[in-house]
Amino acid sequence: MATYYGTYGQKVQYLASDPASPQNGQVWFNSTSNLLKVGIQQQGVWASGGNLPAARWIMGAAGTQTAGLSFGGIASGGVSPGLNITNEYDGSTWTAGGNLGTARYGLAGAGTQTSAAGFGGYNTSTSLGVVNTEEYDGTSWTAGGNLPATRYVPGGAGTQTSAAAFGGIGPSAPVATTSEYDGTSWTAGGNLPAAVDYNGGCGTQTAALSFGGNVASPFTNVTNEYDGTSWTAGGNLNFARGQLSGCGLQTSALAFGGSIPTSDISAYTESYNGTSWSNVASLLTSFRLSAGTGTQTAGLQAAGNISGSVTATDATQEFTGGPVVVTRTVTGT
Amino acid sequence: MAYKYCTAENWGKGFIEIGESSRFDISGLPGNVWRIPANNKDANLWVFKVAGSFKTKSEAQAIVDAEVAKAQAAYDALPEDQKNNSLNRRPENIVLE
Repeated sequence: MATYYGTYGQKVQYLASDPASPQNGQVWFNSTSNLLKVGIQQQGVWASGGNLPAARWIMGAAGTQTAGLSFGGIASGGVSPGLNITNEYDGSTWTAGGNLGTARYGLAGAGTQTSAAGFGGYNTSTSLGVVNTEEYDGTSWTAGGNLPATRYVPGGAGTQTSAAAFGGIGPSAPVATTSEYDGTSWTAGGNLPAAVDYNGGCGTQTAALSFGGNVASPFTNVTNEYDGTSWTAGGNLNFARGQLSGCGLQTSALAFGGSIPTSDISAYTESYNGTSWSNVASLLTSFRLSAGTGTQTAGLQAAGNISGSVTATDATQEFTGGPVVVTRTVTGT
Repeated sequence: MAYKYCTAENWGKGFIEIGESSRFDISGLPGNVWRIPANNKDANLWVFKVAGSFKTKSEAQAIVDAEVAKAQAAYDALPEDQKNNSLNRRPENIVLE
């Protein structure tokens, strides 16, 4: 039988406590807990962020992990009314910002905390999708140009003056269309290969990424990349899902949470390099329809739905990317 | 993998820090139930830090079941036109490992 000594030329360390900074592949026996431990390199780790003032889900988001923005959504326990609430995050605490002019949920966001755009969504007071775009300056929202047609739960990307909305539910059904915003008005862009809603979105107007979503099947793992004119196929997500969140750029994106075929909610987190998705650290708590923003190495997940229906949370989670050597217990026979 | 369960209220920033989630797996469940590895000193220290209360698996399961039942009741109370659409599905039961 092969031995550790025979394979690696050294004995397993016998330590009273786990090393503070284990190396990738390092194996040791913890004499206090009587467990065999190993250091494993994984990409990234999630930690708790500051809680939102109240539980909500299906909001819009913009900004970064340390200067984030959450707006609109639905309070926990119901599907109406849509909210006009905006909250700003400083990396620790959420504080109130200016209210949206049109309360809604299922809207997309783009830009930064002090220069954001929120577009589309669903207005529960009229039971209709909306065309409204609103622009945030760090203090208040003002009306921007209207989308060419109602659209809710689309993917979103870009900045306040150069945004894109793609997929989502149009006036009567999911759509494949892309609309591009220049800070004043929306114009038609290239169509996605197929209609999709509840898709994740990130990137810029000329280098956007659409991933996952709900389709007839009902979930897809398809990723598409936009160059400002047309969409082409990217690498598939490892886990097909819809109602997921994401952040980052077309060549360095992060996708997290969402509904999967076997569960209402998931903790899966995947990282995209422009070609393929790889699994990284799982969320601490599973979600769908949460607000996602930030970058691939500094992502932010805010609030969201924690069941298949109307139950939401106020919790926030922060992703720190890059290689991290984590300590795990070795189990087996 | 053997697991332990505890309840603890997530107060937000600092509740689970990078240094903790990198040293052991933590998984949140309905009802402020948290699943951590058994026989893990770091996990036990985290439970102490967050003033958590250890629960047996059956106790934790009962808490999760109650929360899921609440979510299912909320779903059942929805108008028919808001059920089984793309936004709402009846929450599924969760069986602890």
